[in-house]
Amino acid sequence: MIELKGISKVYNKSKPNEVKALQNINLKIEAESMLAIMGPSGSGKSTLLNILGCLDVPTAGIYKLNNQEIQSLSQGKLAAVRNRHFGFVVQDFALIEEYTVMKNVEIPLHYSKNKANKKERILTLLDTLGMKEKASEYAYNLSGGQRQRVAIARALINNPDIILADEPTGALDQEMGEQVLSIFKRINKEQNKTVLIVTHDDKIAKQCEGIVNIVDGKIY
Amino acid sequence: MPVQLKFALGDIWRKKLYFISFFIQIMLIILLITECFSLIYKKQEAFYHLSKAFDTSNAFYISMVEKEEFVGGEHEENIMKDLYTYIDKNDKYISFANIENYIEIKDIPKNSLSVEVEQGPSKILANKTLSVSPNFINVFDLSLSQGEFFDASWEYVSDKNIPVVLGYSYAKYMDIDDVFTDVDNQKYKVVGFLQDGQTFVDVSFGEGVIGLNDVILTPIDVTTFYNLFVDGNYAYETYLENSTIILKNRNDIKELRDIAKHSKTYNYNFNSVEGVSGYMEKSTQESVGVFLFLLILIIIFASTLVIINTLEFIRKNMREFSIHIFGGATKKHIALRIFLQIFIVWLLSFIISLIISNQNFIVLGVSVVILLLCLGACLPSFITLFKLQISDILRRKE
Repeated sequence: MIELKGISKVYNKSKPNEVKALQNINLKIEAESMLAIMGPSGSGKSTLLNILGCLDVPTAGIYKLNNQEIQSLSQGKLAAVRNRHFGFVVQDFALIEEYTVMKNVEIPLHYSKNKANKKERILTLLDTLGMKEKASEYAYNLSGGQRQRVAIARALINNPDIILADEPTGALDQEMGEQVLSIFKRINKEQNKTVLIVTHDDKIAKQCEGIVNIVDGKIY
Repeated sequence: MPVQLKFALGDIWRKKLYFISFFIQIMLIILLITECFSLIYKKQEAFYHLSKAFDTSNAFYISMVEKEEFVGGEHEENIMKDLYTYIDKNDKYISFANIENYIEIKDIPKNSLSVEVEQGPSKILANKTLSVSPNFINVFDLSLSQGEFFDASWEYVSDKNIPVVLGYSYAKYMDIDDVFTDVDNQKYKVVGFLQDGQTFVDVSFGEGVIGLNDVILTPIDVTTFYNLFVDGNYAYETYLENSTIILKNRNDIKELRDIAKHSKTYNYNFNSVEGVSGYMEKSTQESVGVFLFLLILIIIFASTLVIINTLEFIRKNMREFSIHIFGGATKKHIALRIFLQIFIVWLLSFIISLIISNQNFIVLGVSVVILLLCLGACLPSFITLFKLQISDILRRKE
């Protein structure tokens, strides 16, 4: 479970270009839920996602993950938490073009303590996502939908509790976008993972269990 | 560590040209600095060796400069003979000479000790010889592994074998009492072999400490100019020009000057060996100066290359770093990856430099300093990396 209490994030504090990206966020996210985070551009959605995913630390407030406070952990420990508990899927897929599908999916395993049977795990995961035949293919040869499936495989390879997706269908056509969303729903229902999706799309938001609206760094 | 090592190797493979250029520069820097220190060390070793042999403040060598009024055609031997005889017979002076040459031997077993020497327009394979006076052996405390030295009173006679003492390396090919002939049909008889590692200091030409393992020592017979043969005999002039004179009392040089001042042909300059030491120092300094100048240029270029390329590497690979950070990497991992790229190139340069140079300790010491310099050149990149917020890294696109 995720709990945020009084979370704020300020960039360039006390400087003329100070930005209050998040202000006093209070949020509880139950395990195995699938939520949409919506808001206009610049509202703080990505900042919230970064803090949730331990990619950034809040300026103030308490962040509890499975009842453990993590806001003041060191960078090294945050990275370990990130590796163990979170998988990331982003709009532009974030694949390394010169790597094969296999190598891209393998990246989180490099930082994991569990490196056993790497190849088998990767191939099994790719198979569930219909990408096993493309395992040796270079990322630059894949279509948008294929790339996003590889990105999802990479996000799942360490069997994290939580999947954070930032506009995962933003670069895809409608058909591909629906396929990707159905994958997220499958992950949520069959693998009992918490899925948080940042989106502008109402259709996607309506398919989630709940919606978190954020405007000007505040939750409404 | 192995993970980042793998990625660092991948980075090196992807940017082969840059890293090859970097590797060559680092290796050149290591070798140049090693050579500088080696030159300085050799010079110091030579001076130490020399000072063990005799007091250099009381040692002189002669240079003869033709007088302006000399019109040529006259060979002035009597002054030279007087000078030589006075030095040779007088207990106040110890003189020794060493004259380098080469002989082309006809019937020696085939060996690696001969060197290619230019003779006119062509090249021949010849063996290095050093004609020495008896005091040379005493001053440099040469020792034999077999046999004996040639007699101090030996005189050259046309149909007699010239006695030779061979350097240690010749023991593989020759024995005591072996006789060999040169291309002019002069015969030489082996009377002794030097011990391994014997050396002397070439004072007059400032060459430093010279090994004798592959040298043939022959005796000098100083004789009149008109009684010279090609080998074995040397004129008084040749002896004097290649000799070092050690005085018991420095003031006794005046007596030699008094003999020489009567010369109508030459100005006889009695130069202190300390002056030669200065010459050796100067020539070493010049070489060291040139190397250091090149070195500074290369260091500036290499440092600039490292700084620019590591900063560029960070800028161009932000996206890849963000992907790794998603997967659980930290900025320290990224910094380690950059360091490992530099370290791998340094390690290769160090190993190759060790193989090329035989100055292992100097190469090791120099390489450690170079590694620290490389780390220093990476500092701007590390500072840039650690100053960035992770969210900044994620926002950046290539």
